[in-house]
This record gives sequence, structure tokens and C-alpha cells, in this order.
Amino acid sequence: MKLKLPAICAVLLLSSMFNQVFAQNLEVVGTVTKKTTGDALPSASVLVKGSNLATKADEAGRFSLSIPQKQATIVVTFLGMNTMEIKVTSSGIVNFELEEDASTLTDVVVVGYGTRKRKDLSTAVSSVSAKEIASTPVADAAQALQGRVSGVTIVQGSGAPGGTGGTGIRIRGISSLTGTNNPLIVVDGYPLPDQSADNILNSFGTGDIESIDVLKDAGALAIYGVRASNGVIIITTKRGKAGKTSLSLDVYRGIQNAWRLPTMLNAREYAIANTEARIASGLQPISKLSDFEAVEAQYGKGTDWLDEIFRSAAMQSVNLTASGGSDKAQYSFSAGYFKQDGIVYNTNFERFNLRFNGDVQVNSRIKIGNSIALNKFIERGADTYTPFNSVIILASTAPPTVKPRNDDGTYAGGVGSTDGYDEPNPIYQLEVPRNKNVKYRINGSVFTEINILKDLKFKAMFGADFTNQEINNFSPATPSTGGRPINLSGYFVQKGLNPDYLAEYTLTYDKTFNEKHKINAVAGYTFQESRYSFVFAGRGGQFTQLIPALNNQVFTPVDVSQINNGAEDGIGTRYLSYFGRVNYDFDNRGSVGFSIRQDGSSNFAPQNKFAIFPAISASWRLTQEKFLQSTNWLDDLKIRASFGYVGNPNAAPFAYIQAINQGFQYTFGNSAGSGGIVNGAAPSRTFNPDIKWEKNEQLNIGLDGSMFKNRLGFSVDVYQRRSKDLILGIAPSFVSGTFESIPFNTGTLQNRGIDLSLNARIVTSKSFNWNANAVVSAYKNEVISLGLGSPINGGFARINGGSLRVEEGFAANYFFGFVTDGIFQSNKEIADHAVQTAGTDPTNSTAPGDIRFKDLNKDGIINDQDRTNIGNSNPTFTYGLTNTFSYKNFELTVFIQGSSGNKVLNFTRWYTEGGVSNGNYSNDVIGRWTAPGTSDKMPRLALNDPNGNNRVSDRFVEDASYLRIKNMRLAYNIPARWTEYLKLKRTQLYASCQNLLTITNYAGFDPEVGGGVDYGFYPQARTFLAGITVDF
Amino acid sequence: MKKIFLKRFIILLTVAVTFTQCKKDLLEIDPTIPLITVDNYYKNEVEAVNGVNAAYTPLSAIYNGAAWHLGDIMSDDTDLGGGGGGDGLETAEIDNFNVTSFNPILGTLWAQCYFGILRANLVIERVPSVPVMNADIRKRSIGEGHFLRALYYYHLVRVYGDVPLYTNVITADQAANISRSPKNQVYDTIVMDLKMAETLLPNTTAGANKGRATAGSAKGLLAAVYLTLGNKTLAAAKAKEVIDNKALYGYDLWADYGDNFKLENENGRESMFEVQYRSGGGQWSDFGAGQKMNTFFAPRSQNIVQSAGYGWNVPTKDFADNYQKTGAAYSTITDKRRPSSMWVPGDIFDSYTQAAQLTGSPLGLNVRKYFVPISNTLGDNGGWTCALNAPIMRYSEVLLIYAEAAGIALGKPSADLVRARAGLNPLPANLSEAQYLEAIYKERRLDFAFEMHRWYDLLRHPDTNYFITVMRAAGKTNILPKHRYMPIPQDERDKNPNLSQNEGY
Repeated sequence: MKLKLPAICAVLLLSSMFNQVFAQNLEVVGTVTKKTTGDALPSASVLVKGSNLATKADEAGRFSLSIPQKQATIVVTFLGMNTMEIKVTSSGIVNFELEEDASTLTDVVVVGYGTRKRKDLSTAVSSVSAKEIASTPVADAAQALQGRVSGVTIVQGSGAPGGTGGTGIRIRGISSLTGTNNPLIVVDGYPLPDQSADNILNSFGTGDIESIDVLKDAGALAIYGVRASNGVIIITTKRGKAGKTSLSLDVYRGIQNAWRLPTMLNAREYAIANTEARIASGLQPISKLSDFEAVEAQYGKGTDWLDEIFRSAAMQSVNLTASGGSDKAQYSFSAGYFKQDGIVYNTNFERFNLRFNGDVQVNSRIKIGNSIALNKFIERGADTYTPFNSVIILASTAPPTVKPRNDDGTYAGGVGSTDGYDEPNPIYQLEVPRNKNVKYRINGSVFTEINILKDLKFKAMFGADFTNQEINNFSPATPSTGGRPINLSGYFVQKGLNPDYLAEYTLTYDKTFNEKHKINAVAGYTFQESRYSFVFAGRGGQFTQLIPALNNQVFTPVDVSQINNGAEDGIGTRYLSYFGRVNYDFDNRGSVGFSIRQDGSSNFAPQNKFAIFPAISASWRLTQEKFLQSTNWLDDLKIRASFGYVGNPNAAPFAYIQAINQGFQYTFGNSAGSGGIVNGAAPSRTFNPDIKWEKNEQLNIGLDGSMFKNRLGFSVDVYQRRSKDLILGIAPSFVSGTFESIPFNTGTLQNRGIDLSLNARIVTSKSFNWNANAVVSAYKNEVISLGLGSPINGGFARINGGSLRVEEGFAANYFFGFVTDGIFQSNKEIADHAVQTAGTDPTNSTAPGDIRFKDLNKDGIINDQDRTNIGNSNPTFTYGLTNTFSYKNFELTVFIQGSSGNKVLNFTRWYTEGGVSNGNYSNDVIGRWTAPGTSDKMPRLALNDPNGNNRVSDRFVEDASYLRIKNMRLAYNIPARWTEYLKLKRTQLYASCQNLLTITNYAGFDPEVGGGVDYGFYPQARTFLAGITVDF
Repeated sequence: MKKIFLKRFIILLTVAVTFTQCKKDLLEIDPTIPLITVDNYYKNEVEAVNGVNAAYTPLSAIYNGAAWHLGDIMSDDTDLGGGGGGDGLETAEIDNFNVTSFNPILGTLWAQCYFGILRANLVIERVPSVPVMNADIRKRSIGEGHFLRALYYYHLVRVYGDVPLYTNVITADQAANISRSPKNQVYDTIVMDLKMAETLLPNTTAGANKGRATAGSAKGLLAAVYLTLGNKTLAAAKAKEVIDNKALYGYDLWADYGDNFKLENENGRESMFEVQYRSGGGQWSDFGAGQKMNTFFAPRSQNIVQSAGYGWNVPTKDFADNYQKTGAAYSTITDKRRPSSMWVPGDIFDSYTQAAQLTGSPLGLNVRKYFVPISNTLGDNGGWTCALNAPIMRYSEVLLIYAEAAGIALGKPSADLVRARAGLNPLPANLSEAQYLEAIYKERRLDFAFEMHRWYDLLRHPDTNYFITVMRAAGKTNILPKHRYMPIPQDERDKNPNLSQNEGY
């Protein structure tokens, strides 16, 4: 059958040529311009319908045609403009004023291993353009996706510079309870290895990105098989275009500040609160705090620790891009530098990036090309993420009556005996330990494309992704008079290399029969291997010199406990896969697609190494049917549906083998003499010989439409995703001598949701335009079954063994805690209520002013059995709204982004609302309970929390809905005539502000909290910046 | 033209097929590259010794997290103490005999013992076939395997009675279906293991190997096991073997009882076996390298130890009143063992004075045996971790085993040795058999104060109701005959349908 195809094609071609009859010529000249601005459209394609006669408009948009016919229809096309046809019957001038193409139907969408026109698409794919990405000044492209794509929830859980704190990308919710929930990211056809990195993209330059396409349903995803259950993000970088040489420079500088900081008590208020809390618990007041007047006289307002650690910070970016080429060869190269200081003192991020993309047409059949990116970043960070040591928590709780530095400049801090508080001094923590994380990344691929037949193309691609990371932590012994200084210092260095290799071969067949039947098929084979290796060396002990060194001349270890060396070198994972896809489009009226991938993974048990992931999809363009053709206001309406399977490779490699755990330790010798900690080795888990991938079953139904002459476009998708065969750890019987749970494929997780996007051209005129774009995403997550597993408690909490729970019938990781019922106003109320704590001594148990917890199981005692579901972090919906206004040379973009109905367990309040230590309190405790009737919300102050007021409860669960003016950007294009003499094609000045306004009821630093439990993370900055883009 | 295309197509197809030929074997990654498995480990001396070391590891957690709750708090020697309220609910259950099968302390003991047993089994099974290994170290390692297995089963059998018994390397399936073996079979295995261990283990250890089990450790433990089984003849003979060869094993009493519990005397002359702790690592946990009893037992919130002190495991009046004293106040106790065993009101340490009453301690009594002051840099660097070892068996125990097992005629001199060091007169020579036993019991109680032996002494008394009588007298009215054995952890029974429960739970 295949051999007949060229023959059919030849016949078709010949028959069209015979149609040309000898006749007089029509001589037509004209210009092609943009209707709204009148600008010329050079290189617009001008052709005569039904013939192969064609030409191109010149630089001024002019064209001329000599048509050997009595009458003809001239068709003018230009990328991004509506195609225009004019029928001519006589020679003369025919001008074309093209309208901008508002419909996205002709857009080309990048799908796995190929591209599709949006009108033909039968699957759920969203796209983001270079312009949208470039307008958000961030290091991590993932952050630029926030609020731009329906179905994608981006939580920037940290404002750490360079996005190093991680950006969570979740496409249509989570698909796994124990494995990765990060989407697969494909850069120029290269599927990046999952480095458990929520910030995998922050090593790439955002200025290099041409487009980002997000694959969301099984129909689009199945071709990526076992790695696709969390969706796929395809990033395409800029490539050169023939005939058009351009050089573009973009520079911006900005200043960042914390958009808000909580208020803590001042010195006097703190002294009052602390003394009250100590007396309530039967403790002596701290003597230096017992005279409030004296405290105020001595300290004034006292140290504002948050003010001490936060600062105004600079950020800057320089990006140079050049591209061009001839018909035979095109290139695009870029160089970028990005530097962002953190708003937390002494943190910053710096990145250099280079890219070279090239394409060469070797001959009429062979094309070769490459994409190569070289990147380096340097991060100097601080602990802003662990519940105990985050400098943000330390600064929130450090007493205002303690100073960061002594008068002689040495470090101060709380002293246990006089301040009752000796947690680390946050300023010391930011200045003394020196942490540096350097990452080098080379990501590149080369390819050859061969047109075997006119419609059949073979492509081979080989690539590599090398990341090399160096971690340096040095803690020099530095004197301090308080605040628990580091007297045991240490130096730790780790160097790691993660090479990843890819080989891929594809055959693509693209053919239209009888102008109605269009076939697009692709088949391929790919092999990918991820390796990893690292070496590390650490020295702990007394460093006499302030020189970080590992060698024994400088540092002599006392015993093995001061030496921490190690290395690992291994193969992570290999994938070997076959895939194929066929799309059939019928007469622009509808299409069906089928795709399949067989993935083999080295992670799985021998009998389960291979898995098959099929998917089917179909679309029907209703507007092409007779019954809708008379509906004038409707330009296009398409209904889509898809069903299929994808996987999650979640399984520790070799989970089917019983491994030895070499992490056990014991001690021999004498504490005062020789010997020390020795290593022990033993199995700590058994194994599951049948372990395999998780399976994700997805159903998607969508509707795309545009109306009112493409002034309004919309796209709606409803979906159901079910993760089956979830890998859950099943705890072994301890009689086995092991304790680690054994992974089993059991359990089911479900997400049901709706994605909505709208775009509207509200005003279009020559001088003023207003476009708006909105996306809304909503989903509901539910654990359908845990199979063999039991409910999983997780999440950090000081008491009650966790704050998050996974249980059948609930959203995954809901908050698990007590329900509060106001505050006990009297001893009688306590006596009438279920027992909260044993005993009657108010210094040691429940007293008026304490929180009343509900006795949910009515057994007369408040204990762990009274915990329940107190909310979860899944938003009801998230949204983004972009308004773009342009007036003459000005363009204003206002981007609003938000989330509604998401809850946060604000654990920072655990530290700042009393009971935990002699540290400082949040300003909110001023409204605390002091006598009957004074408060029904904020409990009395008592040190050591005798009633357990701080247990995980709905007290700390807050509505973290927010609406944010994420980005506001004003740009001005300097008229070309002003800069003509400088040979500048385009000069744009712009100013923008990130996080200009945030509306939220959330009381913590920032309502965006990754994982839903706020331990006091790095808050986001409000950034003002100004920049210039110059095109030469 | 078409033919040329066809040729090219075929060539390319061939190339593509050649590339893809490698196929499935690409996925057969040899797991030895990144992973060490049970089957490829134990290939040299270092790996063999690492296997042995891991078999010791559970000791840290057992003595941090379970041994003192069961051995002392459950007995008439100490009570929970602490901060009251919800502080230490699981310990309170044990203290007050309303313990259930969900008790996490019982879970810890169960789990940790079986971790040790599997690892000891692996040592016993694999170390004999390690290709190249120093013969002495091989012998020692196998001996340690037998010794540790015996020790872990000894803990299990005394607490739970019948328990799953296995001496091979068990699979997950077998472990999930194994039944309990009768106590006597467990004891047979313990005795057999200790007999193996005493022949394999070296007489002494030195330097960086101090703390490993020796032949003396095995013989001493065997004597204790025989005594528990009520076999006085064998107990006396085994204890005598140690006493007669004390020079060979390097054992003797410290002249000063308190020298036993000093950091600088760890693994000293009186030590027969102790849990080795080292500060740092695994802070705020039972499972680290450090000892947590220092922080848990020290006077509550007095800041003389790291992390303030929690005041748990508080000596009872009944216990404190056993000491010989000259007045009503505990400060008049003359027994020389008291100052290093127990804080009494008026005790001074640096600028700290023990009060007459403290949170959780109405009489101002606290355990001092594991005390390492906050000022001692060797002791700690934060959290609960303290470096001081915990004794499992001291030479004085062998003396008292012999004294008890050999009877008054032969044994009294041994008991008098222990008494003499405490500054006490010899026992009267004319005691009846019952009076003599009572005297030895009292001596054990004072000499091994807070060393986690008392509950087991109550259980092994010839009068099978002794533990009930004593605990009732101590005010623990909840005690019932069923409390001789603790409940099998319910969590484990949920995973193993063949695991029966002890009567009454």
C-alpha cells in the first residue's frame, strides 16, 4: 500500500497542471499591510489560488504578479494574520490590509515527537508564548507559568533568590502518594531526568524560550508513557529564521522588598507577656524582664529581629540574543547573566547562561541541527525551610531584649541564664556559616532529519544532559557571647555529577489524500540512561584557623566521628521505549488519534520491566457541519474527547532486591579514650519481587470555540484522572528483623476537575487595543482506596505525631488535628467539659483562658482519638487574568493571579503565640485572654503550654485564599524614526512591578505555601524594576 | 527515482533496526553496581565486622526506650514522675498496670529485639564462609552473634513469655506467619547460644574493641539465665567459674561503688557488659548513638543536665527506705551506694541544691546513676544525647548470683564482699533459707538500683505470687497474675494471623 502513495500523489499533481489553459495575463501589483497599524508586512506570501504561481512581498510590503488567466483569486498569508483572498478580473492595483489573527486555530502546537495545528488537535494542550514568559522577570521559567495555563497549579513555596527554594508544578493535581508529582519536562525534545527538583528549570535562561506547551490529557500524554502521569511540559527554545538577522539586547535592574512582615512584640510588651506566662506556669519571672519600666528605659522598642534579617535587595538581568541565517543555514545564539540578591540578608543567586541552536540544510533531503545550552549558577543560601533552624523562625522568636551584636562588634544573642533563651542568633546564622551551592549544566542534542520520501521523514537525535553540582558548607568556630555559637566547627564539600544520555529515532509520515483525508503518523524508538555519582568529604571539630580545609595539615581529626567521607557511583535508571501515533483528519471536520508507548524501565522487577500505555482521542468541529453553518456569530466550535493510560515510574530502583543498609552505627571503645562510632550493616527492608509502575487512567472531554469574528475564544476541559496500582509502603512484621516498609502496588487516587480558559479582544482599533485572557482551574482530589495500606500520618508537628494524613475518602494529605471550641472562661466550664489534661494545678494543667478542644468521640477525655479532618491545602479553584492595553506606543499589562479556598496550617504561630519558649510573641497575643470574657480566640499565656493549646488544631488552619497583582508592566516603544540613525529596529523601555498588591486574610508571611504547612518559609518579594530592550 | 528512495529507505531501516537490536538486555542492569544486597555482602573482614556491629545497634534503643520502663518503673523501685498530665502516658500505663497491646514501649522492645536477632542470625550464618578473614576475628564475630541473639531472646522471653523463635534468616512471608514457640524452647536456644559464645569469645578486649562481648560476658549472662530458670546448681557453677577466673577476665569490684558510673571508667574492671553510648548524632531520639536517660532522670527543669531534665523514673519511698540510715531524713543514709544512685533533698552539685520537693517528685528523690552534668563537655552537645554507657551486667551481680545460688553456707562471703564495699556489716550467719533469700534480694535491689533488674527479680522469685504481693503492698492495686507477661503488640498481631495473645489481654 505504501508504495502506491507516491504514484497517487504524482497523478494529482499532473492533473492540476493540465488545468492551466493558455490565456491573456493579468498584471497585478499591490501592497500588503497590517490593517490596524498600516505597517508593511514584508515577506508575506502571495499566491494564486489553484495554481503554483506565488511570490513574496518585499521589505515595503510590495508585490507584483503576472497571472496567465482571465480571472484569479489571490491569496495572501502572513504568520499571525488572517489569510485574505481577493478575486481579480482585471489588471491593476490590489492592496491587502490583513487583520491580526485572533483565533488560535492556526497556531502550531508542539506535541510529543511532532507538532499539530490547534484546529486539528483532539487532545488537551495549553500553550504559553515567549512574550508572556519574558514579561515575568524570574529565574525559574516554572514561576512564569503561574496563572497562565488552565489546569496547572504553580505554588512558589519560597521566595529564595533564583527560585532555589523550589516551585511546585502540579498539572491537574497530584497522581501519586509516594512518588514524584513533578511533570516530565522536555526541552527541545530532550526529556530531562527528574532530579526530584521542584526547581529543575532554574538553570536555564528564560529569555531563550520560544514557547511552552503543556500536555494535560492521556491523548496527548500517552506517547510519553510511564513518565507522563503528572503531565508533560514541552519547552521549545528560539531558533534562527532564514533571511532575517536580528540582534536583541534586554537589560533590566530592580529592587525587591518583603511585601509584608508580621509585627512582633516590642521590648516592653514582650517583658509583660513573658512574665505573665512564667507566673501562670509557676515559674519565677526572668529578673531582667520583671521591671517593665526599666526594660523600656534600657531597650526602647528593642531589637526588631525581622527588620535585622530582611533588606532591600537588588536584581538584574542582561540578555543578548542573535539569530539569522540563509535558506541553507540558520542560527540562534544567546548569552545571559542574572543576579538576584535575596531579601533575606546574605542570600543571593547568580546565573550565567549560553545557548547555541543551529540548523543546516545539507541538501534537499538532509537537514542537521543542534540545541546546546551551557549554564552555571551559584547560590548562597541560608536555612529558610526547616522547622527548627529556619532563620525566619529564629528571627520571629528572638527576644527584643537581646541584641545581635555587642558594642565591640562581636556576636551577641540570648544567654540561657539571663534571657531564658539561647536559640541561635539569626544574624550569626546568616553571617558565619558559609554555604555555597554551584551547579553547572550542559544540556544539548544534535539531530539529523532525512526526507526519505516526500512525505516520510526519518530523524535521529542524540543528546546529553550533564549536571555537576558542588556543595560547600563551612562553619568556622566564631566567638559569640550568646545565641548558641558554633564552637564545634566543620567543613563539608560534596561534588556530584549526573550524566544523562538520550538516543532517539523517529519516522514521521505526513500526507493528505484527495484534499480531505490527512494522515499524520509517527513511530519511534528511544533509549535514555541516567547515571549519578558523588563524592563528599566532611570534617567536624575545632578548626583553629578560619580556613576551610580537608587536609590533615590544617585539621587533625580527633576520632572517626569527625571524619565524614563517602562516595557513590551508579546507574540510576534506564528507559528503553517504542512509541507510535496516528492522527487522521477528515476534511477539517474532525479527527481521530491513537497513540501507544511501550516503556521498559530498569527500575522494575524482571517480569514487570515493560509496560504499555495506549490512548485514543477524537474531535469534531461542529461549525463545519451544515446545522451550524448559518450561525454567524459562531466562528468555530470543536468538541474533543480522549481516554488512555499513562504511568508513574515511582519505585525505588531495585525495590525487588533485598539491599543492605550500611547506615547503622554503634560505639566501641571508651568515651574518654580510644574508639568511637563504628558503622554497621544489615538489611532494613525485605523486598517485593513484583514491583511495577503506577498506572494513571485519564478521561478528558473538551470544548473549544471562538465567536464574534474571533473576538472571544474559549476552551473548557473536564477530566477524571485515576491513579491505580499506587505504590504504598506496607509496614513489615518486625519479627522479620526489618522495619522499612515494602513497596506494593495497591491503592487508588482520583482527581476530577475542570479547566477553563478565555481570551477576548475587547477593544480593537488603530490606536487603542485591549485584550484580556483568563484561566480558571478547579479540581477535587480524593483517596479512593489505600488497598493493603493503612492511613498514613505525615508532616512535621511537635506533638500528636504529624499534621497531615492520607486516608480513604479524603483529599490526600488533609490536615489532621483537634477541633477547638472557644476558650474556657471559668473553672466550672473546665469541670463540665471532657478532661483535657489530668490534674487541677493551673500551673500544670487546664485553667481558665485555655482552649477548649472538642471531645469528638465523647469518651470524656481529650486524646489523639479526637483528631479529625480540619481542612486541606487544595484550592477550590485557582485563576489568572491578564489584561493587555496598548495605546499608540504604550503597552500596559496587568496580570492578576490568585487562589481560592486553599487552607494553610500556619505553624509559624506555634512558635509565636506562646507556650513554647521564652522567645518573642506575635503582636496578636496582645488580644489574649486575661480574665473571663476578654477573649474567645487567643488563649492565656503560660510557658510550656500545660493545656496543649499548641496541639495541631483548627486554631492554626487559616484560609489562605489570595488575589495578587502578580505583575504589572508598562512598556513604551520609542518611535523607530527617533532611533533610525542608530540603526535600531525597535527600542522598548519598560517598568514593571511584581506582587504589587496581595489581598489575603492569611496572617503568615505569604499565602503561597508549598505543601500546605507553613513553617516560616522565605517570603516572596515585591519587586520594582526598569529595563530596556533594543533590537538591532 | 523511486527505486533510489526505496534503497535509501531500506538502508536506513537497517541502521535503525541495528541500533534497536540491543533491546531488553539494556535493562538488565547488574544491581551490584549501585546496590549492596544480602547475597553479595559479607565478603571480607570489614563487611563481616560491620554485620556484627549492626547486631549491637538495637541495644542503644532498648536501653534508651524500654528497659528502664519495664525493669524499674513497672517494679516497686520507681514511678513515672515527670511533668504530670499527658506526660509519658505510655509509661504511666506500665507504671499503673493498665497496659494494653498498643503500648509503644512494648512495641519498641519487641521490634528492636527482633532486629538484633535477624542481624545475629545473619552473622552466624554468613561469617563462617567469609573467604578471607583473620581467624580470631572470625571466631569473635560468630561468638558475638550467639551472645547477642541470646541476650535479645532473654529480653523477649522474660517480657512476653512464648515468642516467635527462629535461628535462620527469615523471609518476609515466614515472618508474617510464624507462631510463638514455648518458653522452654526459647530458653534452650538461649542456653545453647551462650554455651557457644563462651567458647568462641575472647577473654578480654582492648582499645577500640572495648565494649564487645567477652567470654566473661557470656558466662555471667548464662549464670543469670540459669538463676532465672531456677537451676541453682548450674547458676552457682557458672558464677563460680567467673569468680575463680576473675583475673583471666580482668574483673574485680571497684573499691568505690560510684566509680562504676563515671565516664572515665567506662568498660572498667567491674563491667561485664554494657550498652555503649557516645554523644552526638540522633538527638531527641531513642535511636541515636547517645544515651537519653541522663536528661530523662535528672531533677525536672533544674538545668543541671542538657535539655533541662525531665525528672522521670522517680525512686519510690519504699525503695529509698531500704537504705540503712541514722535518722528520718534521707540525707542520713549511710549506705555508700546512695550518693551515686539517688538524689536526696539537700544534695549539692556545684551551685545546685536538690529541693525537698520537685515537680513529679514529692519526696525530692531522683535517679542520679546516669548523671552527666551539663558542664561536662564529654557528656553532650545538645538534645538528649549523653555519652555515658549503661551497665547490663556488673561483676557484683555474679557475686550475688553465686551468693544466692550456692546458699548461705558457700555463698555468704560473696554477698558480704558486696556489702562491705557499701559500708555494711556482714550478713548474720544464722539466717533461715527464706531470710537469706530476702537479704540477697534486698542487696540486689540496692546494688543494682535503677539498673533495670528489679521487675525480673520479682518475677523469678520461688514464690510465684511474690510479684503480686510486693506490688500490691507498693500500692499498685491494679496488678493481676496476667501481668507476669506483657501483651504481644497488637500491630504485630495485625500483620501475622498466627500470633496469639497472652492470656488476659
